Amino acid sequence: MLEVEGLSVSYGGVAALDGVSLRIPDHGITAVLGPNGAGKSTLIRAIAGLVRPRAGTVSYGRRLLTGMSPEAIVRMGISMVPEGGGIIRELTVDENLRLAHLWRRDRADLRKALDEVMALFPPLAARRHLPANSLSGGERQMLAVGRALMSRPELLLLDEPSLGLAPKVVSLIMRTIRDLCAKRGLSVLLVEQNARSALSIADEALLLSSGRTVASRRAGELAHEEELWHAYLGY
Amino acid sequence: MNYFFVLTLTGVAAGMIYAALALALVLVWRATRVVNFAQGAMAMTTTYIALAVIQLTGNYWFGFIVALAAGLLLGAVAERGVVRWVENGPPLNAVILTLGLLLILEAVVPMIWGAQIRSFPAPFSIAAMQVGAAFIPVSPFNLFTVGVVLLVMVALLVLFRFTGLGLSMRAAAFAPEIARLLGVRVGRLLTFGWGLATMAGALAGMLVAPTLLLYPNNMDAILVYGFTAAVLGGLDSPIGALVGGLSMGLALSFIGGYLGPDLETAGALAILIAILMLRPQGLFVHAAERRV
Repeated sequence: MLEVEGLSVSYGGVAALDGVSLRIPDHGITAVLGPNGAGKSTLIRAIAGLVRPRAGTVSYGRRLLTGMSPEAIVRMGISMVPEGGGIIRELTVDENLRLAHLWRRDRADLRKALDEVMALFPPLAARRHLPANSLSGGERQMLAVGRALMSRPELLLLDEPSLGLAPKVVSLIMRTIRDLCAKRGLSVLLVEQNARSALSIADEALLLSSGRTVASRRAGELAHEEELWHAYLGY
Repeated sequence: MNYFFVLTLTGVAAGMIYAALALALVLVWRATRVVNFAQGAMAMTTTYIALAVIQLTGNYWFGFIVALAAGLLLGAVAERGVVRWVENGPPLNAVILTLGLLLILEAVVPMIWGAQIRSFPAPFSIAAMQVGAAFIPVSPFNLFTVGVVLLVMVALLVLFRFTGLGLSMRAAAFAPEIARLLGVRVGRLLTFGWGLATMAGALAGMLVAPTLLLYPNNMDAILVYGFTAAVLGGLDSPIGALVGGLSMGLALSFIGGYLGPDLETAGALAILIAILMLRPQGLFVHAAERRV
């Protein structure tokens, strides 16, 4: 269970997150929705250790994550897919994937983990030794998700995985996340602007606006609350 | 002996030394995007340490090893103790700090060891070899220089291409934040990168000293040549450092041999200006590969 308590983050005096609390259970998908600038990315970056909160805590199981470095948080079983995927274009597909497994120092498992990702995303297998630069947008997102899985996380943090992708690719990515969650018992925090596709796979949903929580419901319920949608998401 | 041939051989031998220092600059640039103007002074310092150890023990190789180890340590300390503090500031701050480090080292070393010019031993003869009745303008020490720099290049190539540590170092250089998200301990790798670089610099220092002698600013000109070589190679590429170093060695040897030795430094600066005007990205970095 990941617990976020009263988390506040500001950038140069401007509050991006203002006392947000949330719980992510050990299984299932929690979606965080909200318009641009609502603080969604800041929330996910603070959990991953990329930004230091001004106040509040993040804890995982019994361990306090606040103040830990990103490389230490990965070792706790939390992997993040940054916005846009964050693939390293200068490295090959294979190198991108292997990199995420290095800290485990387990060569036998490395091969297994690589095979699993290739089986999950067959287009990557064909391009395995090409520079990541040569991938299409959809393949890059597959690489980004596959790479996050290489470190065998228990909790996957996804920052806008549908951004800039064709609807067909978005539904493929969403379906894969749903399957992963079901098959591997993963827990997922999904930050999305694309509320419709996020709610289609999420169990729980949180609506953020201007750095504050405005609603926290079962995803199915939030999907039907049209006033909230109109008020905060603008459609 | 054909004069051109002589100049070519001496150019290659000198070029290998420039390549070693260029390599040091490239490794630092790759790790932290800083041009380390103290690289030459750091190499000078480790060479003084080598000399002290050699005089104490009477064994060249003991001094050689200690100098490389001192380079590793000095580089690591410079990164952790100095450069790390301005990591998030404007890039110019770090560059100016390295200039400060240069001044400090060139002031502290003569306080400890004196400022007089010293000779430095070579593990092999620095006299030209004789084959039958003819002298070829290559000394056993020149062959050692070429061999050891090539060895270091191959070792680094293996490190970067075929090991997990090398993969982590490349990732840390290309995308530090992403690398950290993937569990790479970027901070440690930057320290190690500086250590490795300063080790390559220490090697250059010991290869320079037997022929050019040792004094507190004996590496200043070599730094200019090595920097030009590194820029020629694209600043990002170890192979580029090697080719850049060799090109510089040959160019300066021809300039010195045909136009007069006084023009060598001016020639190096002319080459640097020409590269920066015509091909600022260097010869070995494709524009498309660079980060935007």
